[in-house]
Formats: sequence, C-alpha cells, structure tokens
Amino acid sequence: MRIYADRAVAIFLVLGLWHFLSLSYGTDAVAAPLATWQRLVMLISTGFISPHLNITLYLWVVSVVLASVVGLSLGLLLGLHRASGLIFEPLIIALSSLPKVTLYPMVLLICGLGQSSKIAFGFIHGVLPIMLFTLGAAREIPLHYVKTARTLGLDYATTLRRVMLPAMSSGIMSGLRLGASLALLGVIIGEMFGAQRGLGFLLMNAIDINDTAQMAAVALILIFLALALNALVRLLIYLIDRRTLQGFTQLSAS
Amino acid sequence: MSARNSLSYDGIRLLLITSFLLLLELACRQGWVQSQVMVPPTVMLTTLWKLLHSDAMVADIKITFSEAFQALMIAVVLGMVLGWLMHRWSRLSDILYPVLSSWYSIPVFALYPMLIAFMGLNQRPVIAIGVLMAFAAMALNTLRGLQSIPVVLNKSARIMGVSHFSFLLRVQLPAILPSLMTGFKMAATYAFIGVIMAEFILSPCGMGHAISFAYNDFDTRSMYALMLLVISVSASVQWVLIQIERRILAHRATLGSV
Repeated sequence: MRIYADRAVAIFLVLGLWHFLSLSYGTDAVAAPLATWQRLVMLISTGFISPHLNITLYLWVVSVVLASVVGLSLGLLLGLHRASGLIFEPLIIALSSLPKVTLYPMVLLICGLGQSSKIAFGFIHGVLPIMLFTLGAAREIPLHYVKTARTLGLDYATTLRRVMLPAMSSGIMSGLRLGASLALLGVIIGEMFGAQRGLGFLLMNAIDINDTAQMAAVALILIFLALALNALVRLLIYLIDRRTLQGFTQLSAS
Repeated sequence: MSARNSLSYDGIRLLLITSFLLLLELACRQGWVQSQVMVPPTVMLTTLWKLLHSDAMVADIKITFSEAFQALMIAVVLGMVLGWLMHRWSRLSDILYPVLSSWYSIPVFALYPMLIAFMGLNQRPVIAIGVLMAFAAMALNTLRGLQSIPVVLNKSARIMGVSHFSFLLRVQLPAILPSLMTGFKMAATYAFIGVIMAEFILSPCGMGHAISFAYNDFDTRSMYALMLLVISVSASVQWVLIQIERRILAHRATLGSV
C-alpha cells in the first residue's frame, strides 16, 4: 500500500515541478500541465489524433514483423554456426551503437519520402538487438541438451523445434522486447522528417508552429504509447513463456 | 590457439569489410547505383579530408564532442548518485526502478522541443537530451553492482569498524568497478546518440546539424563524408571502451584466483 502512496507523491512532485517551470518561464516556453491535459482531451475527443496514431501503429507493426523475421533467422544462423557468429557479432554491436539518425538521410535517398522509409528506419532500429540476443541465446544453449537429443535419436529439425528453440526462448524474448521498443523509436524519428502524417509528424509540426500545448500533449502521448506497447509486449512474452514452460513439463512428465 | 583463432577472425572480418567497400565502389563507379543516392567510398574519404581542413567543420566537430563529453560526465555522476541512493533507500528504488528499467523504450527526444523552449536554442538542450538518454543505464548498473556485493564484505567491514566514508571508497567502489564500467560504456553510447540526434532534429551547430544541412542542401558527398566520420568515431570509441572493460575483467579474474 505504501508503495502506491509513494508513487502518487512522486507523480505529484513531477507535476508540481512542471507547473513551476511553466509559471517561471511562461506558457510560450512550457505549457502548463492543465493546458496540456485540456489539449490532450481535445486531440482525442475530436478524433484529430486517430489517423496519426493509426499510421504510426501500422508502420510500427510492419517494421516489428519484418525485424523479427529477419533478426530471428539471421541470429539463429549466426548463433548455430560458431565461426560466423564470432566474426559478425562485433560488427553487429558496432552497428547497433551507432547514432542511427545519421543514416536516415541515406534511407530517405534509397526508399524515398513515402512510408517505406519509415518502415525501413524502424526495421534498422529493431533488427539489430533481436539479432544480437538471438545469436547470444543460440550460442549459450548447454551442449548436453543437444547431445542428449542426439543420443535419443532426434533428427535436426525436431531438435531445433523441441530442444534448442525452447532453450533459447528467454534470450529471444528479451531481444524481441528491446527490438519492438526501439522500432517504435525508429518509426517516430522517421516520421519527424519528410512525413505528412503520424505522431512524429505532429511533434515536428508543433515545433514548427511553436504550439507548446501540442508539443507537451504529443510528447505525453508518445511516452504513454511507448510504455503501453512495452507492457503489451511483456504480456505477450509472459504468455508465450508460460506455454513453452507447460510444454517442457508435459515433455518431462510423459 | 584461441589467440590465433581470434586473430584469423579479425582477418576475415577485415576482409569482409574491405570487399564490401570495394563492391560499393564498383557499384557506384559502374553506375549501378545513382550518384544522387550513394557516392563511392573513395569520394567519401576525399570529401572528408577536404571537410576536415575547413574551420567551420572542425568547429562543428569540436562542439559535438564537447557536448557529448559534458552530457556523459553529468550522466555518470547523476547515475552513480541515483544508483547509490536507490540502494540506500528501497522506497526510492521501489518508485524509480520500474521507470528506469523501461527507460530505453521512452522517446526522450519528444521532450526536446520543450527543452529548447525554456533553455534556448543553444548547446544546453542538446546536452540535456544526452544526459536524459544516458543516466538511466548508469544508475541501473550502479544499483546492480551495489546489490551484487557479497554480504560477507559488508559484514567484515562492519566488524573491522570501517567508517561509512571509507566503506564507500575502499569496499563498495572497487567492488562495483566492473558494473560501473559496463554502465559507462552504455552511457557513452547513449550520450553520443542523444547528442547527434538532438543536433539532427534542430540545432544551430554540430555534426548532426551538419549532416541534416548537407541532406537538405542535396550535398550528398558531404553528407556521406560526415556519416563516415560519425560511424568511425562511434566505432572506435566503442572499441576503446570494450578494450578497457576487458582489461578490468581480466584483472578481476586474476584477483579472484589469488
């Protein structure tokens, strides 16, 4: 119970600080919390936000699906073939520590100003962590699992499906969670440049016309969206994890 | 044996990168790729060489480095203090831990316009974004390090009557050095990414701004030259930090065996 009280106090402190900032710098610089709330309600109740929200979510889903398929298969290949894993891992780490926004002009030149450039940028953000985590998980499968499977006479496909993938699941899930979050960041950054729709565009638009209430409202929406999607991915992963665990216990019981 | 193996892996990696660059060069020279889309690596290099001789560009590079460095220093101090406080007071960590552990998914740059609005369009909001991106990794790693200190260390220090301050300095700090190093490495990456991103979105100066300016100016050559610069700087900083981390871990391993 105390923890909820503590959190409520923390939220009030943040709101108080925000209000103080807007009082001392003026509403031209920082919109007051109340004004932001009113704008937020207006954006949602008039339905103004929904086309932008929809396009951002659509681009996110497409880039996450692409990043998962490519990241999982490449990561699996690199993880199972030890030498190529050791060769490519430092390259992938170097790529993922890049400020990827510097690559965005290149993506725009190659994919054009349309939606494919946003999907590509989200994909670039998401695919690297998924690949890295899958690679690490595949490398760290205990050797005796594979040996036992071989002794029991399982063929390679069955070993992969019933032994290796379940053993890798927690690593893969962490990668997917990180990749999905970063893909959202990529899509939003992509929408901030050369877009006509989307939450990133709304944010950039608010900067251009210096509408501080809209800036704060869109920033709040982005933060809540990110946290909500993160929670959703966590829930999905929890459900999948539980199912694989059940599979494990069934396997050991039979 | 393993040293020779890793050497040959380095060789293969170098070979792969070189052949990729050669292929890119060939593709651009042969006109398989349009010159507005991609320029040959040799042209990137010569353009970069020219850019490095212009005062304006050197000023931009210096600004970006000083911003990233300031952001990193602030984030490291802030993160260490916050991590230590969270370790001391579990109520604080109950509040902050869920926020910090999903911090990476929060689009911090969404706050950038507001930061500009009340700090002004100068270097301060850029540094602030770098700090906001970087401090969480430092705080979490400090906290993790402090929590993984063996209880026997705390108890023996208390038995020996060590004062609070020297306990912090002589026991806790050395014990969490590897975690601090991991945090520092992540914070350095995030601070650099944050600074470049903020400069790219909106800023009067810096490398990120130079890239976005070159893009808007259809100056593809300068754009790719600057990208090459940012990529090589980020990769070499990362390499140096990994080497330092490896040293510390190796030192730790020999200590453990004694």
